[in-house]
Amino acid sequence: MTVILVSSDNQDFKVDKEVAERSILIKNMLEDVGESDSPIPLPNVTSAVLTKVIEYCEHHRNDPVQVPEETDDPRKRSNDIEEWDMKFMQVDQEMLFEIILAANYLDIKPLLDVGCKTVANIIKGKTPEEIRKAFNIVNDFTPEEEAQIKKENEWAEDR
Amino acid sequence: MLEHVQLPPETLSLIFRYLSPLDLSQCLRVSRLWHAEAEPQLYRNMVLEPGMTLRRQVLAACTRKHLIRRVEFASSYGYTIPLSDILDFLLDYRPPLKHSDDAVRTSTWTSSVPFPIPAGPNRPTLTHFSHQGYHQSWRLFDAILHSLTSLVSLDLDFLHYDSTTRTNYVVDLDRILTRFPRLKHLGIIGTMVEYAPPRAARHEGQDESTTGHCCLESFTFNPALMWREGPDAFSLFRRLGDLRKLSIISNKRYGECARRTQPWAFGRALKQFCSKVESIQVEGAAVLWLFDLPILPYYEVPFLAELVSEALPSSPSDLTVGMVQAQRGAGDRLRQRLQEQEVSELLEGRTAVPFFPQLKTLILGTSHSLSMQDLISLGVQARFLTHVEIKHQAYGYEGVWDMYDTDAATAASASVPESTTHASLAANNNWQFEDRRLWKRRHIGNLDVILFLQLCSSLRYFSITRRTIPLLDLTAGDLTSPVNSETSATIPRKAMTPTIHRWACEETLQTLKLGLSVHPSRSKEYHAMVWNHFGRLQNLRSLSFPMSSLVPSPAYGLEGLLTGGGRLSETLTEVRSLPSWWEVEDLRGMVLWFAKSFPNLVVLGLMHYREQVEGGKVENFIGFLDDEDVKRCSIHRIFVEPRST
Repeated sequence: MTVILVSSDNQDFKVDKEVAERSILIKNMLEDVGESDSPIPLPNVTSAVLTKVIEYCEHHRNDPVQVPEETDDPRKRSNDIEEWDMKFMQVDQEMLFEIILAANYLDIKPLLDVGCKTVANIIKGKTPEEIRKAFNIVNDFTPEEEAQIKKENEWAEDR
Repeated sequence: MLEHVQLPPETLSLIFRYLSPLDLSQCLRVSRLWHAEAEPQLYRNMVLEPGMTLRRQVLAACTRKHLIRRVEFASSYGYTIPLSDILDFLLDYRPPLKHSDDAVRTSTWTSSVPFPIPAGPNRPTLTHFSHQGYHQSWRLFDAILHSLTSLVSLDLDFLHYDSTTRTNYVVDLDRILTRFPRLKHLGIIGTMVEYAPPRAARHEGQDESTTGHCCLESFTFNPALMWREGPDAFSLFRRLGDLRKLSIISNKRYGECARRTQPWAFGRALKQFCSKVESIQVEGAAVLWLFDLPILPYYEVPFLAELVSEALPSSPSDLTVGMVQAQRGAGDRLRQRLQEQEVSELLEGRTAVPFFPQLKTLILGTSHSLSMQDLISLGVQARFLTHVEIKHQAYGYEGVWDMYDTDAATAASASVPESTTHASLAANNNWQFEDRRLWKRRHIGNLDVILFLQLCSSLRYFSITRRTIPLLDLTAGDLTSPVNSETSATIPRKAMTPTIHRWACEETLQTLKLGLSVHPSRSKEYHAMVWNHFGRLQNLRSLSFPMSSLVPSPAYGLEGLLTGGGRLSETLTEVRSLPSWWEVEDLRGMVLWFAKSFPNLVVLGLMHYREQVEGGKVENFIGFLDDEDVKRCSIHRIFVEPRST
């Protein structure tokens, strides 16, 4: 059984129901609507991004539904990314952010996690200035404010 | 200017969950938006470790108490935080002014501390508290602990650093469960822990505080809990119907455990009250029994009774030499039949009252005490097992195996028919029958472990370490079909064409860690048979060979292995613990063979055994890694892993 997804730029994507249901948002929609052939509009996702998202869902279509082990212990949280997922995430930063936003909107938790881990790996080991440069962020602190924040949280720097 | 996609704040906080305190401290200074998202993440988890910055961390955290959710605290000599700071930090409580800070510091004040301590309005809403260490004053510790009523997770590990002040922390589980109504995880372990006797035994009648239902899902304890005595010993578990995860972490010795424990009563309480258990883990010496299936006494199985009378002549005194020999042969046969019958009865346990039907994870650490009967019962009944990890190590303390299930109604009441058979049985010192009648447990054999592979159709992770399974055992019985009493005993194993029986988990297994030996004198067909069997596994990603002699070597001949098709060459991404015990003269050739045979292989772990390395230098062992062909091969990461289990 297939479903039709419509991107924000009005392109149709025909995918297996099983693949589409990797998205909890779509899964819930299908359950609410019941048997229906009507296309599902996804006004927040462009066709370029939707293509990527579908590629991910196709690859992981047979994955067991992970009961997410919500651990609050940051040290138990692994930053490891599977080989395929790592290659999948080798895209420009704009696309990376778009994928994260789409995964968040479509409620595809494993994809959201992989996206967040990828961004976290970019941040790791960088100074504030390097982070700003990497993500094109404007520093809106005064030098005094920044110095104050550094001083207060200095304990964390040898952790 | 290009419009740049910015991450919305809610995804920023998701990303920050993966960062260390150091990285978070950098994020704080990036921008106001990042600061707002990173600060709660940094102060959410307070890991208080001895160190130069500990005091500054506590002071900074004291001004942001509302952000703290989780505190991990290890106390040790040399670095301590003033008690007044701890009280402020955890409870927003300052001791009355009349107590000087010195007095607070030296704990003289503790005898007047209110219980529980009245927490201030800005106290953090702690959900997790974990503490490792030892206290001069357990009363003060208790007063602090019992003020943290919002806890969802509590972990205590009490070690003693100072042998002169050895008083144990007496855990009152009933009080803890009542005091922390939201508690989902409770872990209390360590050398300085003992458990208060059950409440019901101390007070007449039962009240809400000992019977109320708890939402506890995960419980970690040490085997001292299993030493409780009396009819109410384990009534605590009545309250724990939601328990999913059970971990027994032991620092005791077997001698101590076996003497004081009531494994049958404990096992029954678990099975009766905690049927939702999904995970069982045992580390260290703990006498845990789970099997409770009806094993029929031999005299209720007609063909066994016949064999008994055949094996044991009525009067042992007038035996001729020839008769003794004949009897010995019959005795061996009988022993084998008894064991086979027991296995088939256990396998039929499928129809018995199921216990832990939702069990998914079974982890048995070093020197666990589960018997062959326990394992078969679990393997048969837990249809959803996905993760089995067994550190299969024999241990010396026989007392565990000499214990009888003295509570079992059948064992106590079953009377052996008065007959000469029984007398001669005792005279022949053949305890097989008695063991069976008294539900004595037997050591785990290789077949009992292989059973999981043959029976559990959801298995994703299977690991057996510290034990090498010979090929003969891998090819032995097909446990999925009932033991055929007509043929199995009569056909000697050697005459059978060796085949590895189908594994129920062939489609699901992703990780296999198996010590497996195929003797070098075996022809290549045997090695090929094993590889082809692995080829049947549809989704195997990681394969590890601790203590194995299977890995092919070029000198031995590689061609012809892996011809059985299958998807192994596509799915395998990781091979570990090479070359194990195999004598490989040409490691380079071996690595290249793996690279060629498994194009998707990413990780290859080489295990370094000192005796394999000339002159004790690892460089000699891995020198070939600089070879151009090896560098160019498809395996991204080749590394020497520490020798471990």
